Amino acid sequence: MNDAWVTLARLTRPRGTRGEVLAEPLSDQPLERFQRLGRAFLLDPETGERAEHRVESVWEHQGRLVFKFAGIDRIEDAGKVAGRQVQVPREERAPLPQGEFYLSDLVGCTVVERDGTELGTVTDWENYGGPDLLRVEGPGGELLIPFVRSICPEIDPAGRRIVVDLPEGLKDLG
Amino acid sequence: MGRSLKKGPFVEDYLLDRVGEMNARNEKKVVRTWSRRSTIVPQFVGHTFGVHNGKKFIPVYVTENMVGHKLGEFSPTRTFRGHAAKSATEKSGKP
Repeated sequence: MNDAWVTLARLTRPRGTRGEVLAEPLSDQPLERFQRLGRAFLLDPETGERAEHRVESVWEHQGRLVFKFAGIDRIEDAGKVAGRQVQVPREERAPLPQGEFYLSDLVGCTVVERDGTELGTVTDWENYGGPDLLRVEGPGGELLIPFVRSICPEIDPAGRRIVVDLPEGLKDLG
Repeated sequence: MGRSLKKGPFVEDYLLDRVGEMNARNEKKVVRTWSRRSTIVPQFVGHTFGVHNGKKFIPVYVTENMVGHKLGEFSPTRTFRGHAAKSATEKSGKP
């Protein structure tokens, strides 16, 4: 997934009467990451239009975020931006500590075993409460691979390649 | 009401046997199981289980912070399609 834009949150509905908008966060980064934004681009997923907005403030409310954008001061205006995605250019993503990867960077990577056997391409990821699972689609069908160091010893998002060391029987789970 | 401490956590016997054998031989094989009710015990850490969700086996790699939970908690039986297609987000993962 090599989009030029990264989605940080999805605006759901107006909150309050002063133009604040409730949002579902789509980032693992803490609240400070949103408070430092300064500006963001709101994408209308239906029309594909993207408009720049200055972020006045962001705070957390019951596990969700509340955005206040400059120029959106009434509940009617807030209703117009509901459903839009809060995006920033890809190069403005928050830096990650050593050894961590953005899961969207792994989509499209080729997955190979240590002996060079190609298993397929990462198409998506899942999280069912434990370690993340990479969804890999290849000639042998679909495969879920736990994203853990002992199974994925070599990860190279820049080279679009992940080397895996699968435990016996994982390929047969189907 | 919680389970009696005297009995200890419930784990299907064959799972303990299989994992015990693998630990003795220092090998890692995926253990397929339908026993979603089995509690994850410390011996399971580092092993991968194929936990059946009613339709297929979901790989569950056991880590330390999963101890005490049930295997079935990590193999959902219902599909949440989500509200929108996944796009490039700031979700990160650490292998």
